[in-house]
Amino acid sequence: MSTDVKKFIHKQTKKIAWLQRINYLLKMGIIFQFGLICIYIFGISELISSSYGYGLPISIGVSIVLTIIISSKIRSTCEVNTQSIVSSIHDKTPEDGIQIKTAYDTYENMNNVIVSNLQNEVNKKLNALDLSYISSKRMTMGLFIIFILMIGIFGALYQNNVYVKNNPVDDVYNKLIDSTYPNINNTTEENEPSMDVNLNQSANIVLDKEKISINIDSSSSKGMSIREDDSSTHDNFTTSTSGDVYSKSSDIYNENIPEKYDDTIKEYFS
Amino acid sequence: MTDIQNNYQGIYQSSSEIFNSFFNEVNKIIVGQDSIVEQILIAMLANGHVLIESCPGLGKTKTISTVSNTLGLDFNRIQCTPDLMPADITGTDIIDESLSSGPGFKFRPGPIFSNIIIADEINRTSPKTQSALLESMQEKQVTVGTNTYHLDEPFFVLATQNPIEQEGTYPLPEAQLDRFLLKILVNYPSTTDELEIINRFTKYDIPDVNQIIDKNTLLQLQRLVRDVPIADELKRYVVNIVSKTRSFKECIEYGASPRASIALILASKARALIKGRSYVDEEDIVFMAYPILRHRLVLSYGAYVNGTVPDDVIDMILNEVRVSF
Repeated sequence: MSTDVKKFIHKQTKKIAWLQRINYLLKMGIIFQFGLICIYIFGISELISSSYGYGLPISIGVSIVLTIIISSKIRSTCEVNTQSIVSSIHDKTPEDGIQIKTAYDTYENMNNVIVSNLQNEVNKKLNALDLSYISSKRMTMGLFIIFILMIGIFGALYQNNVYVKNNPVDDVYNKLIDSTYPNINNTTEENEPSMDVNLNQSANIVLDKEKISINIDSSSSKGMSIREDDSSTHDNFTTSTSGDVYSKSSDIYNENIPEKYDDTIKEYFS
Repeated sequence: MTDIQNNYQGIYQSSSEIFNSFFNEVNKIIVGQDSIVEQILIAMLANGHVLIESCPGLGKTKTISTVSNTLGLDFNRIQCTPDLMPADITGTDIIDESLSSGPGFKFRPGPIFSNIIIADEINRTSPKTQSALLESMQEKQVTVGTNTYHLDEPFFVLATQNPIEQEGTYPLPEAQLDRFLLKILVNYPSTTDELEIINRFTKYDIPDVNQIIDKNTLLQLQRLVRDVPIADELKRYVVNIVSKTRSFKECIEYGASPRASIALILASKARALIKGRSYVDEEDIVFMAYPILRHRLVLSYGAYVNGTVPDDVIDMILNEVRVSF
């Protein structure tokens, strides 16, 4: 009985804290999506891109930083602790707030006749209190509106194919590829890099107007990169012992792959 | 639960009934002074002394003597006059010739040796005699010659004084004022109350009061008062109020001491108990701030010239300082 007040306050603190966290995450999402909208609608990406060449990553970076800053500000203003719960109760009914806080402060002193009596009085009141009593209507409504807004923005972005056609991650990836393999950019439309890869067959890659032929043999793990395989082995390496001689390997790993898998494998490498 | 706890539980549960009976009994004689009576009881429960100030004829002495009668404690009345000497209050050593060992000195206790002292018109006696009360009020003991005598518990000084602007008065020194827990102001009664006073006191039979609270019950209630819990925020609120009296230089020359903080919390606890509450409320602190602080503030010259009184300054402080949850 002595810990009822404490349990109650802590329980309510946790509940409100969770609501606040959800609220916080939703707000983060909204701010981030607004950032993306700004990038795509107002052409900020192109503007920055034309100046620095890395417009989209910078735009997203700025959007993320802004999201974190604004969200941190929101979070700090909505911080939930025992004090804020008691404060919330006090705002609604000042007398109950002081009584509950007094009981909370003195719950350990149960030898005191008056404190014991106070705890009993408060426990009766706590049964009548619920989350709606503590969490303000404004907060609940705010959470609901934020949720609807989040869904709305997400839906709008999806409808406009912002993520499908102009996925910023794809753009970033392409830019990274460009910067890593600058020669690829020099290819014309006619001789764009093409990869015709078949299992146990020669694959042709045209790079920088030069045709490179490689042979892929999955069983030997060779030919998976355009580099020459290193044939040298370390002197200290020892040959591993063979496995169970009676074990039977799966057909998938057998070199004699059934014909029915040919199409699947070709499709994978095409 | 121990026997002591059971005992306190019993006293606590019957405290509301005790207080109601007390107020009903006092109201048989005193009219329209509920707040004054309540504050006197608060001071007694908080084990503090009371200074009551009013113009003559407003019933302050009557109120105190009525309260004393309902408490069933020994009480003595000291009528303070300019020629009253300290020994007249504390007592003195006299030659006793009846001692078996031959004539010798024997201490003859003064009127201070009682549970309740009514020091009527305390500001009419000289500062020397006023100071004689200091030790007894604070230490609850009397020193005569080389001997120290302890006073019986409970011990209250209920002093009355006329407003200091009146002729032939000696303002109490700040050190002595600080030893009074409360300073209560008695105002003129309303017309209705005054009519009732006339009706009661112009008859041949003036009603008498019965004893409601005995010494042991009062001591237990005093202990209960200290057990009334108070929220940490309210303690901070009290400290902020008292601190503000020290920094409010526009109106206050000298603010209240930490003794005022202790007094405000104790008095608020006592009021909560009287109101039947098991915790101290903000309302208790606001109500008690006036009688606790008004005699502990030395106003600045500017405030004095503007006609500001301590209660106005306390108003300003209470409007500015808030409970922060």
